[in-house]
This record gives sequence, structure tokens and C-alpha cells, in this order.
Amino acid sequence: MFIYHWQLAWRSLKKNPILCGLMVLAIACGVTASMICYTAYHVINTNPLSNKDAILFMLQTDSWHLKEAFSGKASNQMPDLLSYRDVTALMHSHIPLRKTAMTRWGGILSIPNSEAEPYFAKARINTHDYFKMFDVDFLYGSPWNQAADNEVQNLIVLSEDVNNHFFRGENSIGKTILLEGYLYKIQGVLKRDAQPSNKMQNIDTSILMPTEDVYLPFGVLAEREISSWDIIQRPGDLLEYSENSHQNLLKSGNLWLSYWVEFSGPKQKQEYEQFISQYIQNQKALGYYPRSLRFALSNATQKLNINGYSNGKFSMLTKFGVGFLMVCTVNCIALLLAKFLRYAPESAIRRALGASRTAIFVQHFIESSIIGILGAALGLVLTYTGLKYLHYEFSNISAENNFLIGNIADLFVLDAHILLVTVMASIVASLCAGIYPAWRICQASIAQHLKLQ
Amino acid sequence: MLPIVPIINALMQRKFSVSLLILQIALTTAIFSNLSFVALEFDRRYTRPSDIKDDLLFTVLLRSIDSTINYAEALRDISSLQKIPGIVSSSIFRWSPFSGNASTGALRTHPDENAPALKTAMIDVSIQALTTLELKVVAGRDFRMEDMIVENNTANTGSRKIIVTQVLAKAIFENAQNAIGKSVFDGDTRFEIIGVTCDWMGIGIDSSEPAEHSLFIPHYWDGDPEQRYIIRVNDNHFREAAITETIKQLQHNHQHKVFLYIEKMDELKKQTSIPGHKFSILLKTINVVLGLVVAFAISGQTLFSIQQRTKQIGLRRALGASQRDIIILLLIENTIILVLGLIAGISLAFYANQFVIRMGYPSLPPIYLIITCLSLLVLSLTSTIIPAISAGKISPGVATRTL
Repeated sequence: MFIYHWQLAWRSLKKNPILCGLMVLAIACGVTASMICYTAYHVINTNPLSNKDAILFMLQTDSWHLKEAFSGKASNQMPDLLSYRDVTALMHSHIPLRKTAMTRWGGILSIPNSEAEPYFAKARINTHDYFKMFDVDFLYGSPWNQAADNEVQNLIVLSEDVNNHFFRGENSIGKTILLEGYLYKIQGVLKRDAQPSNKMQNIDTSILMPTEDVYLPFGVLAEREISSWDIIQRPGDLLEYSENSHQNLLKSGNLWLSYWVEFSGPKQKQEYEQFISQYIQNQKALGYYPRSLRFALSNATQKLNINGYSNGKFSMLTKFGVGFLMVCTVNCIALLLAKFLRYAPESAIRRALGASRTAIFVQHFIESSIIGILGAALGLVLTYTGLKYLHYEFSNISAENNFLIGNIADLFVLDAHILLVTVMASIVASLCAGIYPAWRICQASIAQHLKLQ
Repeated sequence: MLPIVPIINALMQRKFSVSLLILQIALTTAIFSNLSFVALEFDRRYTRPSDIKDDLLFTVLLRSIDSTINYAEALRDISSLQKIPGIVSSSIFRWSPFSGNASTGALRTHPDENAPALKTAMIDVSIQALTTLELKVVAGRDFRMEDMIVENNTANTGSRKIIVTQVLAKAIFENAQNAIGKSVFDGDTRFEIIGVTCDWMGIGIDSSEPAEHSLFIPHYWDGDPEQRYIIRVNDNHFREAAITETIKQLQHNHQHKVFLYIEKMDELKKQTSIPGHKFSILLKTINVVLGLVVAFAISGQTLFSIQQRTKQIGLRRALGASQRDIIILLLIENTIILVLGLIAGISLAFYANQFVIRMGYPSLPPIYLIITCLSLLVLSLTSTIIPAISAGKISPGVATRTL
């Protein structure tokens, strides 16, 4: 019987190809618009490390001044950065399986006497654990040792793109490269796809961060004159606005390092929480940490929420996209109603010949689902084209020297999740559109429509 | 004589289809007004002209390889650059306007933390800054040698003299003249306003605060390995040559121990404004497609309702209605539906506006609603005309064909 209904539905649609085409187009337009907006929203909110949500955490401590709570974007009202003093003390704890403190920097990379042009590189300074913690794969070489995190060792890890630029993609392990006047030995080269940085926002900024070009061991901070490229959060009593000198950053209570830990299990996490409480209490005895003892360990998913993306540009856009889809769905309801009522006499004859109300309903409902499937197909094609076009449009704009403009083009990529959502949205929209008209038709009185023959 | 009441009665008989149309119009109004507002806000912030002659300006970023650039060296740099023929003025800027980088502050009229604060962008500059950017002073005075503060390790307390934009001065002190001599506080730092510049785009940080809230501080931090100079040439055609000469001169000054990056200010401005511009185009495209969908929807549904009422219309014609009467009848019907839809749409638009407000934008100005309503009016009338004309052509004989 299902096949029979399906055939009837198909035949009925073919009778009026223009109307059918209009409906498919309407659904496809609505789906495309809302899906393009949703893709951007989805990418910016995706946590590619969600499988590590139970073990990978960012540490926040309430080291702010007493007068008022921290008022940045973080919704738990604690700064999400730590001071150099705190970080070096915390690194002594052997409780976490892995730990890393990080900040971003940048400068001019060059190889003296080489044809490759100097490159204005974005750098990340972190511990050797960073790579394992964030699932970053190496193409050549491996992370540096613990020793390089504790003292200055001039080692560097390059991204695949930088390696291509200077060494044409060959294995460059052991060679040296000049960054901001100092020579570094290349310890490793990262594989391109593995870098999570363009989805893992480091600090509470509202834009995608570009992937780093090079990585330096944490130990360089002790000696190299690095003023952090990230936001420096200054607790109130330290509001000297020109305190950018590196030595000051090492000693003062300015917050500029992000601290992440990985545990082997929940027991370790509990132990660590006790350790942090103890640490803050010790600091209070020394006169630091004026506010009440507070800290938080947030996993990557929670961190995305703290960053407040759910209220951002793309969330707004998605909501309007859904509104657009609703307009198209309502339009479809009207068109379907028009179509079904026009062919009401046929249904009346079928009813007169013994078809039940359910049968009529099912047939018409199937018609609307066919529209949904066709709309899904067209919607997918349009969404894919739209995303590709937007990706192209936004790809041409990343300014090289300005690290604040992230790779917005990365927002517009199709993945399996979006594919599925597109198809589902289209089918659900068309089914919703089809319910009332199908119901209306099967309720119609037979006699009246027969008379109008 | 317009039979409004019978028309309304007729509409009540088709409650469902009519309410579908009203819903569509309401949703469209909400989406259209909000998206146009956001799109135009983006345009205003990102694609407005800079109001300075950025085609005559370029910036040089210096990074010293092995030391810092102290004030004496920087002064020597900019005065040697000014000797280059074709270069009119140069000054030191810690960050370049339009690059998206600057310091930010929250200005209050009292040091009390509870007073309301105005977020502003700030750049440390040398005293020639206004001359280089060619910004006129509308109140107060330009910077003088004695305003300049050069700092290294010892922090300098005492109030710093600043020059603000006219928009900022008006925002705090109501007009530019009142601002002169007044103090403002950023946390514990005290600033004294000594001058107000004419209106220009402002430093332009990517935030929801107006870019025009900007100020310049005559200050130099002696401990940086990085500085920027902004240079103005007298003619755009000379800019390329000036850049080459500048590079030569600066390399010579620093014995080739610096890296230099040049950016032309108009290109820099374009670069940082492009994402916003493209985003606004995306929004406008969505609006246009929405408009088309609604136009088709209205004409399609009008056509269908005419088909359903063929007999009734034929009856009217048989009773003496002219073609014109039928068309007017249909237009009135459509307008009533439209008006109801717009009323619902306006309240829906305010509801949807809260999503926009959460992003940091002001609430929807009524002008957008007015324009949306007028556009939808025009749109729906044009969509209805053609089906109406075909309705007018229904022959009176239809009424007598069946019972």
C-alpha cells in the first residue's frame, strides 16, 4: 500500500510541475539561508577536543583586586589568565599528568642568506606537554624535553606552512632559524591539519585566532624580551598603563598566561583541586589573592561557553535564518493547501470508492515529504555552493601583519554534521508544512466535491 | 464607496489562509528590519570614509633585532625622514589607526569606580601627530614639546595631557569647548584634555563601541624593540618613491639592524574593513532573497484565492462591477492583510531585536521599521497587481454557468 500511495503522490506532483518547483525552491531557499548561518555558528562553537572533556581543563583563579569582581567576558567573573609568578609556582606540582602554560607572541622569522623572504610569524610559547594535550601531530621530529621548559634553550617547532616556506617541505630537524635576533634550532615540524588553534580560542576574544606558525619552549620567557601579544589583564591596584616591559611582566601581578592541565582520572583532579586551594591559601598568607578563595577548572566545552559565543554575531544570524526558514515553511503550507484543494474532487472520488480518511492523509503527507526530499537535495547543492563562495570571499582578506583578524573563511566549511542537519531541516520543514493541508483534505466532505464535477 | 465591511467579512471566511499570509508578513518585517539595521551598522562602522587623507599616508613598523628603540633615535628618525623631498610630515605612533590595535581605556569624570565610564581607544604618539594626520583642532590647542612624556622604568605620575576627538568630547562634556582643561580618569591615571580635533573616523578598534571615541597621548615608552612611524607625502604619486627612500634612510640610521614593514594607510583601512563589509553584504543578500520569496508568496497566494473565488467574482461582475472595481477590491483586501501583518510584525521585530541588542548594538531605530513597512507595502501591491488584473478579466458569464 505504501508504494501505491507513493505512486499516487508522485503522479499528483508531476501534474503541476510549476507549483511543485516553487515549493521545492521555497524550502531550498529557506534551508540554504538558515544552514549557512548555522554553519558559521556551529564551527565557532565546536569543541574538537570534546573527547577530552573529562580530563583536559583550564585553570582560573580569582587573583583579581578586592574592589570589584573581574568583569571581562568570562561568565564566572574570574580572570582566565594567570601571572608568571603563579604559573612558575604551579608548574612545580607533579599531580597533573600533563600541564602547560601558554601565551602568544610573534616576530620576524628569517634565515640569513637564504632566498626565502623573512616571514612575520605568530608564535605560541608553551610547555612540551602542549602537543600531546591538544592532540597536535608532528610531521618531523618531536616535542622538546622538560629541561627546555625550565631554562632557556633555543629550540623551536615550526608549522608545516612555515617549513614549506623556508625549507620547501624537507625535513629541517637540526637546522637553525632566526627569530627576532636569536637563533633557534628546529626541534620539530607540525602537520597542518592537526592544529586545533583555529578552533580553540585561547583568551576571551571574540574572533577566531589564526593558527600559530612557530612554537617556543616555556623556558625562553625567563630571558627573552617578550611582551605578550595577548591581552594583559591588570588587577586594579596595578593600573600603570605603560607597564609593558618584560621584566615587569615577570614580577608583577599582571595576568597574561593561560594554564591548562590534563589528568589521568578524577582522583587526580580532586588531588589537584586540594593543591590549588592550599596554594591560594599560602599566597594569601603572603599578601596576595585579596579576594575570597575561588578557582575553577573548566574543560574545553565549558571554556567555549565562558567565552560567551552563544550570544554572538552568528547566534543572532542563525536565529534570523531560522525565521527565514519559517517564512518559507508557511509559504509552503499555503501552496500545498492551494494544490490539495484544487485536486479535492479526485480525493473525493477515492473516498467515495472506499478509501479511508487515513489513506488520503497518508497520500498527501507523502507528497509533502517528497517535496521535502527534493528541497533537501536542492538545499544541499545551494548550501554547498554558498559556503564555497563565502569561503572564497573571506579567504582573500586575512591581513598578514595583523594577527587579530583570524581566518574567518574557516567558518564556512561543510562537514557531516551540517549535511545531516540540512537534510533534516528540509524534511522536517516540509512535513510541518504538509500536516495541516493533508488533514484538511481528508476531512473534506465527499458529497460537496463530487457535486462540483 | 468602498465596501470595507463586506471585504472584511469575506476575509473572515478564509481565516486560515489569511492568517498564514499575516504570519509570513510579520516574520518578514521582523527579519528584514533587524537585518537591515545590523547591515547598515556594519557599513557605518567599517566602510565609512576615514575623513583623513589616507591615500597620502603610510606607516612604517620598525622592529629592532637586538635592542630597543629609544626616544632620541626615534626623533632622529622622523626628522631625517622629513628631510626627504616629497615627505611633508612624519610622527611616532605606538599603533597605527585602522589596524585594529590600540590601547583601550574606560574614561570617567571622577576617579570613583562607580561613575559611568566611556570606553575609548588610545594611542601613544609624538607631538607631530595631528600635523601628520592633518587633523584640525576645533577647540584648545595642538601638542607642544613640554606635553611629551618619555618613560622607561620609573613610572611617571602626574596628569598626562591628551587630545580627544570631537565626538568623544561631546559625549562627555556636551560640546568641544567645555572639554578644554577638564580632567578625565582611566582607573587611577589622570588625563587633562588640552585639545579637541575635528570629526574623523577614529582609531577604529573592532568592537561595538564607536570608533570615534579616540584620543592621543603624547607619550613614549623607552623600552620597546618595536615602534611605528606615520608619514605623509604631498602627492599620492610620490608615495611609492617615498617608501623606498624611507626604507633606505631608516636602515642607514639603524645600521641595518632593524626589520621594516610598510603599510599604506588606505590599504590598511580597506583590509580591516573588508570582513565587516562582506558580512553586511551577506545580510543584505539574505534580505533581498527574503523579499523575493515574499513577493512570490503573496502573488501565488493571491492567485490561488482568486481561483477559489472565481464564481463569486464572476457574480460581482454580472451584478455590474467593472474590471477596475474588481482590481480595487483585491488591492484593498491585500492592504488589509498587509496592515494586520505589519502590526504583528512590528511587535515581532521588537522581540527579535533583543538578539541584536545582546550583540552590543543599540535598539532598533523606528526609521528601519518605517522603511520596512513602506517597502513591504510597495512589494505586496506590485505582487498583487498581476493576479488582480487577471481576476478583473473574469467574465460575468461564469456566474451563471453552474449553481
